[in-house]
Amino acid sequence: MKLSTTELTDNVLKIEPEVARIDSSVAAKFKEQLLEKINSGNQKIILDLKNQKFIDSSGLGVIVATFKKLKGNGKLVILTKSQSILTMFKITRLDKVLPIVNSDDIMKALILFKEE
Amino acid sequence: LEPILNKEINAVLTEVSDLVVQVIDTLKSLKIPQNTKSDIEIALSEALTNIVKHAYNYQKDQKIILYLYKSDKEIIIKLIDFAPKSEINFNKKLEYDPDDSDSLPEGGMGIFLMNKCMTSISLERTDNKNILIMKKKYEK
Repeated sequence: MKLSTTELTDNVLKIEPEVARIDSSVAAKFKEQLLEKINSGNQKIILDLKNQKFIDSSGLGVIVATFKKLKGNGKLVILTKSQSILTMFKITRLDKVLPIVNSDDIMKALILFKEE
Repeated sequence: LEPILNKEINAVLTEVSDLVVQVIDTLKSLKIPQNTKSDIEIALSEALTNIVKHAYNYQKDQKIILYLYKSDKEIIIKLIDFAPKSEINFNKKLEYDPDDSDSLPEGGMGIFLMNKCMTSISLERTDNKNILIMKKKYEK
């Protein structure tokens, strides 16, 4: 599994997974690569899920782990318009906890980093 | 009721992923509503992953058999595995404190999601097989 990265303003790193589905078959690698980005100094991350239409609980677990890792020192914002992915966050009530932007507009995600 | 799809896979997560896609593609061709398909995709993915991880403990040579049925009211999925008897509490709740980030769940959500997404779930033990039956009603 590959992650495509783009450095944005204010040291924000946009990360795009290069898979169609984030499920248990890729979750371990996904977690390893995300934590590698954080451990190499990236503390402000936009996880852009515009190319994904499905995420399972393993993928959600990776996002929660990333959120916890950045809590206090940085920030994770999730960008997605996928109804299926948004439904997963809603069923698990994680939509009340994680910063999720229901859009494909990167500017709407960047604004959340300026609000602090 | 005759199955509209019958597949056997090895207990490997990449094969799980491919099988879920195949089932969803089959449901698309039957014009099943999008919400119903999404719920089935979540529940099926979680159920198969659960068998690979917990019933078979990642033993790759073990088999999982899927039967997919469609009636005029519901989609029925039957999953068969040959692992020791599975004990699953399908009423498991997802409990955490949203104000305490340490309590946020990184795992253990699968059974909760299966129960939330399907109309009914049952697990039977017959002839040394675990038979999971998941049903989802749909609107035409």
